[in-house]
Amino acid sequence: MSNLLVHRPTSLRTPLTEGLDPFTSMNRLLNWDPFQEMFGMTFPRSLSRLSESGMALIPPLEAKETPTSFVFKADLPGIKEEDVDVSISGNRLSLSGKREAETREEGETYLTYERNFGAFNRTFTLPELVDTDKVNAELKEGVLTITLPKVPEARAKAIKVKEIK
Amino acid sequence: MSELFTRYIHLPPRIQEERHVGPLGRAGLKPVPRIKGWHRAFQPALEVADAPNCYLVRLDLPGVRREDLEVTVQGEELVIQGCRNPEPGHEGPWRGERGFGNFTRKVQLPEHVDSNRVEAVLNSGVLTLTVPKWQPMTPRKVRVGHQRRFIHFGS
Repeated sequence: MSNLLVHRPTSLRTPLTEGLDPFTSMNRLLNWDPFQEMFGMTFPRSLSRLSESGMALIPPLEAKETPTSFVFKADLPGIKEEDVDVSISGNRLSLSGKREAETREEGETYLTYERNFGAFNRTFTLPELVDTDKVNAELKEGVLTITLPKVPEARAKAIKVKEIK
Repeated sequence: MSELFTRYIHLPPRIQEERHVGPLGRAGLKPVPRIKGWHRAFQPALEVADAPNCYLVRLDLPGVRREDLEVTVQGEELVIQGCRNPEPGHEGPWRGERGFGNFTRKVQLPEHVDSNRVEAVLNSGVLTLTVPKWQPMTPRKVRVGHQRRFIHFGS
């Protein structure tokens, strides 16, 4: 069993290689917290480090704003639709759920694990109210897409300029 | 200082993520600087389980289509490669942490597997590969019978 070898990507190897990735270095610089340094707190700075180390599940998410709606997409591989909960209260969008590991059979041992399981919760504040009756959420091939149309009053409207002679 | 932080926030500027401050510090992903035309690379998470009859290799491949995925056995290596393309209609000012692009993951197979019978199933964004082990020879009992004695008494 010891001869089963998994090629790990650079991002999962030792922090020694971390400096080679400009995005990771940039992230670290931008997340530098002087107070943390001053008070010598040894807590992990953000959950993303926990997520990378396989301790917490934070689904990668993407959002866009169009003149008529807000759209969110989240990677939720292996999550059943009944385990995802999308709720809106006022202008707050909350996305929560849980991801369960596959049933483990008798005599199964894990040789490598990078996949994260558990509960997650991410909450966002939207700048405008959305039409809660027309919110659409669908899960396809492990990608959740939430479309939140803006209320008609909040939509950007072009106003015609009249020329007065 | 705060300007520097908000400039690189990972969501569209008007959408704010509520960050909980708890014993673990600020929750949420780190902001990613967004450069036009660039996105995070996609690196699927991998898991290898050793079951009694097979090895189970699982990969998280959300949004990866079957036709964009290729699983090959090259010598003693199991190679999973493919491409994660944005969904159709993904145009627009998207901002976030999802990664796209080509990916390759390799798993060195032990000697006692049957690489000709690898099975692959892609279901709701999770690829499960079943690599069967060679069935070990079960000890079979060989009955030891009494040998009939043929004793010829001479002459």
